[in-house]
Amino acid sequence: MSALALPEAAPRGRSLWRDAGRRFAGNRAAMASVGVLAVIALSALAVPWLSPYSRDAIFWDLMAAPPDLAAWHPFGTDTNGRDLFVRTLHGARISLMVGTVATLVSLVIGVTYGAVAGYLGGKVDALMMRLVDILYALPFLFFVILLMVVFGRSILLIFIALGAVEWLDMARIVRGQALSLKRREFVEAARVLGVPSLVIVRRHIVPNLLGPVVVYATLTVPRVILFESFLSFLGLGVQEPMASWGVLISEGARSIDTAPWLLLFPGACLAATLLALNFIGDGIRDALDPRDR
Amino acid sequence: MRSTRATAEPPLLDVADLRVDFATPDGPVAAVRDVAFQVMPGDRLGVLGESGSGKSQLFLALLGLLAPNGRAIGRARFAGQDLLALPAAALRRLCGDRIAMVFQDPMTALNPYLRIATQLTEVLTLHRGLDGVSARRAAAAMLARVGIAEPERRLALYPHELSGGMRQRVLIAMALLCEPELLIADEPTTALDVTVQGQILALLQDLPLTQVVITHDFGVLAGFCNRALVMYAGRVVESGPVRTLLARPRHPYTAGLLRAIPRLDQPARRPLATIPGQPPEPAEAGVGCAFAPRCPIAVARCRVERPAPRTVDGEVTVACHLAAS
Amino acid sequence: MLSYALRRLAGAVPTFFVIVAVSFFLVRLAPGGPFDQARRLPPAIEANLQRAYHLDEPILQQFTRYLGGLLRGDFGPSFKYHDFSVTELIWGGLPASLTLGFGAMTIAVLAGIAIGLTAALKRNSRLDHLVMAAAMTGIIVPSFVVAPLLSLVFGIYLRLLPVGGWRGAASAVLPIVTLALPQIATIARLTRASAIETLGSPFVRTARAKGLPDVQVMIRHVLKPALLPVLSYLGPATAGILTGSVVVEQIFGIPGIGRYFVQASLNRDYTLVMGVVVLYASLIILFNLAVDLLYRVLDPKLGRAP
Repeated sequence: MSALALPEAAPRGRSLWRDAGRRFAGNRAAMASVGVLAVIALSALAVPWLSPYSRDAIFWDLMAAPPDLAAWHPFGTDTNGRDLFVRTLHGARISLMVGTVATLVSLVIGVTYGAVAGYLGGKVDALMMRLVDILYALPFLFFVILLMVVFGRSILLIFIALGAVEWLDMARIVRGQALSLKRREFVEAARVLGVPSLVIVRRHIVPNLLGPVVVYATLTVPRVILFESFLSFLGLGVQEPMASWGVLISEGARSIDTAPWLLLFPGACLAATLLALNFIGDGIRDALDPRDR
Repeated sequence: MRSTRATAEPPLLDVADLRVDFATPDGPVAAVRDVAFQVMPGDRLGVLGESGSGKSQLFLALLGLLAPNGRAIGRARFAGQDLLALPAAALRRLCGDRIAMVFQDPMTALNPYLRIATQLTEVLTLHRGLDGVSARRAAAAMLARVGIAEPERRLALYPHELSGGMRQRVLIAMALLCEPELLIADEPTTALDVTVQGQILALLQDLPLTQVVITHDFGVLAGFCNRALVMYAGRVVESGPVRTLLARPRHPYTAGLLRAIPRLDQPARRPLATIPGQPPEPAEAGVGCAFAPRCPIAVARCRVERPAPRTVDGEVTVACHLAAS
Repeated sequence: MLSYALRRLAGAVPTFFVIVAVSFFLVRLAPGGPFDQARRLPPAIEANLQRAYHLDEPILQQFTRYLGGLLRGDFGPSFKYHDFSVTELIWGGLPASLTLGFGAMTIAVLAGIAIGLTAALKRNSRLDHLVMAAAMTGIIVPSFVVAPLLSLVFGIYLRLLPVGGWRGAASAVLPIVTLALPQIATIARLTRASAIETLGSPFVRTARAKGLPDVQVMIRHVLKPALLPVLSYLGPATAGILTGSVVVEQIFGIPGIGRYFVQASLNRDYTLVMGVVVLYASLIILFNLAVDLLYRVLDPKLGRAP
């Protein structure tokens, strides 16, 4: 090879991640949140081992009963006599699943769209971003509700609809990054040295995109989960017998004066999950780009 | 207009044992340590140093303009009062009135959301109690004095509608409105084009007041100042009359800086002289002379014992074990 | 300036068109029709109804008819409440929703800015951390969790406020507060960050070097630059309040547009759903435009040239 070595972005990228990892580990709120999230996720997976009851089993003599650890009802039962603990954990499954899948959908759409627009630049980019601007002004919530109303409540539709709502910001971020990276000196240097475009993209552009994308994806998950809970609360979310937190909270809200635990437990779980995800997202962002706050 | 050192007069500004600390998550960091100097009426003091030498923080401390995590200890007597001991309200009365400061970057030192007129008249309204009309008139007169044509029209403009040189003039005008006794200019020419630099310096030259110019430019020092203070790593390493300093620098750092200036009378092929290494981070407070790691004449003593400033030849103060007496 | 406004308005037209078109065709694509009820109607009557609602015309014609109606402010008849037009229904729900919306926005802006500025001035103190943690929670915890909790505490345990309905000023308190909370939190965070950045600006240092007292520095030099980003946020904030009102009206039983929307969704009352969507989208677009124009007027750096 020539005496001039290619400005190697990869090693710099690695040590950046390691630095970031150390910073993240020092962020107490973020680390605690990882713990909380792990507990929730593991519990959701391990439901059969945590409780002997099923999601639909009705305890005819225990309608809206308060929490009772001895009888294996740590969260009590709902107005239909079903064990709240199990239903809450099933709700966790739904939320986490919807959160991850819908975020992945928005990630795929957003990153592709943004990377193409940013890399191609020029008129294509202008047009694509104009489209994004138009879509940005739409109140997506209402469209999603419209979709739910029109096409019925299928979980697949929810995945796609929610993912389609969130990709806009991702596209903007990715496109911005792609544009600025394209002009950076090390990309020009690589091009001048004859490195093929694809290699440039893979070795120089993608690692630098990863940071903001990861941060944004982590912050999108709670938004999607919230959105889904919102839909379920209104009665437009997942169908019975699947129990989403939104549905549980909606039921709980109705019985708040007589059985407050029906709202408190799923509500607390939802709030905890959202908070944890946000702290983790903030933590990743601070770890990758520490700024005096 | 130069005045010779009138030793019978009291100094206008007398700083002793000044220390500026910043509280950081990693512990306190000293930006300025053990600084002492005097400014006589009529002096043009040049404060020389690299970025990070503490030269700006020194004067920000005197005016109470440090960042919230900063703290200044020591004594700084101005016209009989200790600036560091004054209550905030009293200090504010002095600022803009008897002591004025002009900051570095005219692009950002003016509020982009307010018209020039507002930013000028508020000084007069505050310190002189002038009403709007009189204040505006005085502001226009001052703008004319600093060399801005059509001052009335310019008053109505926003900062971004003026050129860099004009903005710097506005900043100077703003500082002069209350006819201060002491003007401190932090790198007044650094952000400007070379031609404009000359104009600004000429403007400052004509002002009959005591000035302190913070700079890293020897040209400014030589052409404008009568006394100089050289700072390194938060301490004063040399001070004295400019002529003496330029002709015969006592401290190896000063000498190194002078050597590093490219000269027209040297052969073009000669490599540029530099001072090897980097100035220490403010957080690294070691023992011994801070310059020792980079000093060409350092000896063992330099690394373990910090040199105290001492007077040499009557007029020059230097902090070096090896400075000739 | 005026030509800029007109240009932006013109630019908003395609957006509006897209919204209407998407809503319309989505609704028409729905399986089943508005008249699929438990009771099967005789074919002749059903045909008559179809004709009365223009559902027998080609779809493009229906679309043009709908657009024409929109321009006249007519959203068409409600498919569920056969005696009412959508316009009438929306008009009926407007007072309650407007009260909630304006009330929440006003409180959000005033409280949010006040809290944000205080936190910025007392940066990194205990108070600051406490306030920011509370703000974080306010943003995260969904309104449909907060609302019942507030009802429980203030309505049932403390018996201070009514838990629902829309009678008298007291019944507006809880809904407005619930609606405002996430916005207060967001605005507070935004104001704090912006104020901290402005306070660190060189021109603030210049102002202080002139001897200006802190109060004057804040009001004359800091306030405007610090609050401009908050102004920019008001557009999305409106969208947020509109969205939030859907839940709040549902929970507190407020007879506003948001609740109509939910009911209409569950009843498959397509025109009503569409009407609300078009209305909200227009509001958001208009509001964003107004904020944008206001920003241009207030920021001298952007220049006045159209």
